[in-house]
This record gives sequence, C-alpha cells and structure tokens, in this order.
Amino acid sequence: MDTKDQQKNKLRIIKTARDVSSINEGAKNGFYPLIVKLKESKLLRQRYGVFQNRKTKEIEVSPRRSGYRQYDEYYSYNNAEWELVIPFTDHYPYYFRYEYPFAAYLIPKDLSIGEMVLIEDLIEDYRAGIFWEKSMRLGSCEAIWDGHNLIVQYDPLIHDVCNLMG
Amino acid sequence: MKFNPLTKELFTDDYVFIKEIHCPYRIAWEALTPNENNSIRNCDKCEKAIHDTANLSDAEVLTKVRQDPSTCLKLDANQDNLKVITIYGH
Repeated sequence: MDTKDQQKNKLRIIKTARDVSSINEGAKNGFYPLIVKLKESKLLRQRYGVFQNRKTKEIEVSPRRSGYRQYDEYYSYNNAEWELVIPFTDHYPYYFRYEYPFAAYLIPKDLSIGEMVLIEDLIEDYRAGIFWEKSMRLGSCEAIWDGHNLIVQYDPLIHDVCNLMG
Repeated sequence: MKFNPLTKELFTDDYVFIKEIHCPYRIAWEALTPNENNSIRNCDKCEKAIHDTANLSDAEVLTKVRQDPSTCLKLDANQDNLKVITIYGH
C-alpha cells in the first residue's frame, strides 16, 4: 500500500495558463480553462521604508527604523547617518508579469468529480508562513475537483513550509 | 547562504546567485530514501539526488550547481548556515 507521500506523487498535475493565448491554446488542446481572477491577499503585503545613507547615497530597505534580524542581530538606521527617503508603507511583493489580472487552470476533460490533483502554479493567494517579517506565498498545492471548481486543500495550521527543495 | 522567500532565490553570503529553489512536486524530504551519508536523498519523481545544504559551505553548493545547474538542493529555513534575507536592497 502506498504511503501518503507516494500517493501525492501520483496525482495528476494541473497546469496553469497565465495569458490569453496560453488559455486558448489549452482550450484547443481539449482542456477546460477554469478562469480565476487574481486577488491580492492583504496577508501577503509587506511593510517597507527606504533609507538612503547621507554620505554614500546607497540605499537599504527595511520594515522599521530599528529592530532585530535573524540570530539576534540588532540593526538601527539613525537619523544622522540615514535619511528615510520613502516613508514606511506597505506593498504587495508578488508581481505577475501578465497583461490581465486573471489566469486559468487547464482542467483535463476526463477529470473525475472528487479526484485529488496537484496544482503546479496556484493562482489564488495563500500565505504559507511568515519568517522574520516576510510572508511566504504558497506556490503549489493539492486540490479536489468538485465538477465546477478546484477546492484547494491547504490548511496553514497543518502544513509545514520550513523545508524547501528544488 | 542567503535565501529570499519572495523570489525563492538562493545566494552565497556574498550575494553570488546560486539558483532559484523550486520543486513543482512538493516532495517531502522525510519521504525520500537516504543514501549512505544521509546528506543526499534520492527522488523517484525526477530520478535525481537532492543534496541537503545544512552541512555544505557556500563554495561547495555553488560548485555543485555550476557543475550541474539542475542540481536539486534542500534547505531548511532554520538551518544554521542559512539566513533568510530580511532587508531588501542588497
């Protein structure tokens, strides 16, 4: 009997088309393009400010004027040395370089209702974790096809994102 | 090494780009078969070895990737020789 991980590795992979021509190419090749709008998650927004060194003119970007980084490293941008040239604000850091804010999952015509699949390139935003003030966006995930939509199987309380491979 | 979780780019401590960490299969490290030295595990999906970077130097990782750019690496956000980049602009 397969382990859970072996079962996961046998899932069909759902491809994502992120522009009009790729979506239509998928449709011509027999897939059903499930259109999904891109919606930026507020949970993924990142706070930043830009400091410019008054002497060297080099810049550094930081979420605050002083604090701690990983391994208890203290940092501070004192006003005598650093000018805050862009005041603290927040931004959405994940940019998808496409013309329109939608994409499509290319659903195989023979996908069964209730079948678990692996979405290779998630369109929806899910926060996979936070590490030292940086939110990480979930890139891929299992989902179940209900005949109309892919129901993403992600629970931030269960899934571990500390290990990365590739 | 330094890792940017936004771009998934891995750098040496001197900001020499090593590679973008990306696996479309969400393979679990624990599910892979370890080899004799336990720092390399074999992935059946791509039939490749995945190198644990926890005990490798920046130079060793860089050499491996330059010799074979498709080398698979495993990182743990909490490993001692890895710093998650917290300040942009470097």
